[in-house]
Amino acid sequence: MSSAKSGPYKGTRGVEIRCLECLARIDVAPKAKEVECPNCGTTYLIYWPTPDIAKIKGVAQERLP
Amino acid sequence: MEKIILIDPEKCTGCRICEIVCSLTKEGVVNPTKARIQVVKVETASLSIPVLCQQCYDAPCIAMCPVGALSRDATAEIVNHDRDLCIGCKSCAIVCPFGAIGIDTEAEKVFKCDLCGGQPTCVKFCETKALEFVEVSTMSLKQKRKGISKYTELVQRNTHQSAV
Amino acid sequence: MLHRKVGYIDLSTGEINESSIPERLRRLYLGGRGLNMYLLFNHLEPGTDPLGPGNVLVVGAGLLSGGPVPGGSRTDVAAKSPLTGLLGDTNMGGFFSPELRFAGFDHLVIKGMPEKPVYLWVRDGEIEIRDATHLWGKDTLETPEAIRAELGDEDIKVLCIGAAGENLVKFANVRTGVKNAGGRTGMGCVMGSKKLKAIAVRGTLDLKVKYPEKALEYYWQLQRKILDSKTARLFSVEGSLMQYNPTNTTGILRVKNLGLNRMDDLSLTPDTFLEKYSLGSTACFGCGMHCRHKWQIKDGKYSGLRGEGPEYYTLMALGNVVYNTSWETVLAAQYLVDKIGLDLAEAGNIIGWAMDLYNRGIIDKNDTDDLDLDWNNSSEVLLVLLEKIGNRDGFGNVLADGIRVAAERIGRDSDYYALEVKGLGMVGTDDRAVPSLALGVATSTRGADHLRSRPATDLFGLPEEFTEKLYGFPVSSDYNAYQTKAKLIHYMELLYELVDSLGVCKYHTIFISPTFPQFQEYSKLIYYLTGLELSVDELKRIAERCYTLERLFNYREKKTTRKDDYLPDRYYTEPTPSGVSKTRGKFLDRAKFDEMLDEYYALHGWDQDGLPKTETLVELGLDKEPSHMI
Repeated sequence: MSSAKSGPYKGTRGVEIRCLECLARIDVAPKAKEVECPNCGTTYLIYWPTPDIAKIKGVAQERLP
Repeated sequence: MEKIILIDPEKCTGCRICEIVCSLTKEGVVNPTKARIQVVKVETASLSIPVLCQQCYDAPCIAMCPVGALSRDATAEIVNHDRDLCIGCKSCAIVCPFGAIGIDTEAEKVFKCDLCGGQPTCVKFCETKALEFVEVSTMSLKQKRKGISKYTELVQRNTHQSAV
Repeated sequence: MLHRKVGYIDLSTGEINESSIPERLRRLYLGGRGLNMYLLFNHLEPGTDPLGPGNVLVVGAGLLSGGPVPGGSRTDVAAKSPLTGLLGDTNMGGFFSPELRFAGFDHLVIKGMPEKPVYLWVRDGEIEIRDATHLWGKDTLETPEAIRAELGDEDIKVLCIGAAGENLVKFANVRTGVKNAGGRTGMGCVMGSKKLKAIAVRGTLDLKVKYPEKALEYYWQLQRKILDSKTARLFSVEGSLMQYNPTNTTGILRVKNLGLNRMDDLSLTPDTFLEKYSLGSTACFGCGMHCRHKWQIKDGKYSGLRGEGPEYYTLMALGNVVYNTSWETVLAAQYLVDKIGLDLAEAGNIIGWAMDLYNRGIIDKNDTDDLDLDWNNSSEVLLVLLEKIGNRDGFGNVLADGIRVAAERIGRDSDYYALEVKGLGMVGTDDRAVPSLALGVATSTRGADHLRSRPATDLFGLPEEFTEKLYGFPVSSDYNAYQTKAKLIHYMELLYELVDSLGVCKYHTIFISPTFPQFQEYSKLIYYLTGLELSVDELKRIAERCYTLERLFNYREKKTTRKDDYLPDRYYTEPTPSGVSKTRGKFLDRAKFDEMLDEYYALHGWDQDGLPKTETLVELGLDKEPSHMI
């Protein structure tokens, strides 16, 4: 598991969401359907209400501490 | 180059911001009944359709006006209304096929859209681009592109992988 | 903008009067919710029966409604609530209050009770009481159409009630347009008791703006600031549904009454709605965010049904709380409650409670008119139950007087599962893990409600340096924290009081994004539109006055004090079963909650029992209320 990110995270591609488990910023690849938080490992289901904004639909897999 | 305000009712959300800013700009008050643009609502169908002067080339209002207060302004390319000549007979409002001419009972004159001298306020404030200020000469081709967009969408969705 | 009138209508005698609003009163209460409260406090006799002729119904436009203001569309309706016996107050969007202002009025004060059903016709400075016998029995979609046909004007705006209001269901709502509703506290029931079927309004008068050019320019700046943001872009596509997934995934939504705090079944997410049912969006007056959906169901049981909405609250009340996982049932249920004029928040809450009792074996089919209220049967029984409540039919009649009365009727300790504060049904969120939300809901002056103060941004984890700039004091970035949250709730209560008094929609404020307008922006807007010079501090003081008056009202009617400022016991004892780690296994700490409450009261200038101190009353000028200025 990588160390916690600190400060604003500037993604190089895709768009950014906040992990609802650890509040880390996660970079989402365009059109991705799932993304894993690099900080805590929680996997989210993703949907795109607009082509450039990613949103969390729900939790695909939780990583309990 | 002649421009008109192109209306797309499908994009209109019925917010009536155009009425607010038009009446405020032209009359200094907020009063939708004094706005040159009005959004007609059909509540039961959740429909909103903006209506304003189409600046007709062969305008029935010009033909009807008994005192020549309405005329086609070749420079501004609008149907111009001269308030000083206007006697408030309302014939133009009656004959306009769009109902786009309003009646000001206080001033005892009619009023209509004058495109705000080339920078229409309603177009500026319309958030959904239901109102667009477009060049008449290329408007027709742009409408064609919009019209066939459903087909191009269909093509994109149904193109066989082998054809890619 | 300042020179609008108050219309006084006595439905018993038919007498109609009017008065102008002194500028002095505007500087004390502004308009909308604030001035409504003033009028209610002054005109209502203490201890009045909410269903009797003595109750006073006040309809108010905000000080800035109808103007070049982001989201200036709101209407506020107040009276003594038949559901709670306390302040009844509800707020809605649409087009009613701007039209009321164009008709020359800002407030209508309605008393008395007529012999037969009536409706009010307000037109350019004139108010008329008209017979509504032919309208009685029509639903809230038929009524405006009938009135428009009768009066010959398609552009008449109508505020009306449906079957629920006519049947005096205690949580009947008031409706305008296709789906806008003033839901909470049963204002539709008050209208029903006054046999006031509708208020129709049409206006062609000028609404003067003090500095038109400056107003227009500032309006443009604010529009850009709000509407060019990512939040606005999202909001204009998803509407208020935008909040559903984050709150559900986080684990702060009530499911199965208070059984779970997250719905793992993801059938009800907005993406499904947008894909299958959405036809686009519409807007309220003067709003560039157009968050209200249009929808159609194309096949299945409800094929052909069309409507507007739904909101995030709809999904909570008619989805999660009652464990209904069918989108089509949510939409059909929303359509039904709109038609009959029933508060879906209260209805969803009480049905969720009834289902909870059934599934625990506390009630059975003998109680429920043979309906199977198993959680998995929710989509089959939801519409049936809503209809029964609206018609006071059988089991519906047991529920139609609100959850406290229903719990008394059922007995069997059913009140333990009844979720309400001060008699108003609980909100759709599960606030056990978030002390700030919990405090706001507990202390809200109309009962369990988040709209008095919801600090949605508290969930964003904003750093303290940021919140210090935003509020003027740092707020802990930890939403589990109790520290600093009393200050946050106090601040938001003042802001929302201001916003409601101005007639502005909260979705254009820091409610959904920290970059959106708040006190400073409204100070400028008020100046450009009305000429009134009110600093941020003065606006806060006005809001403090209005809010304290609401508190005084509740004390006057039912001796509401600190004991009524708590959430149901379960919130302090039962841990949440699921959610992210910050929301799992959480319940409120009573001792820390009490500390928050202490601090909250002190911020308002109230004593430890939650009552305004004498010096606070003097400072706010409330020691002179009721002052009967108008």
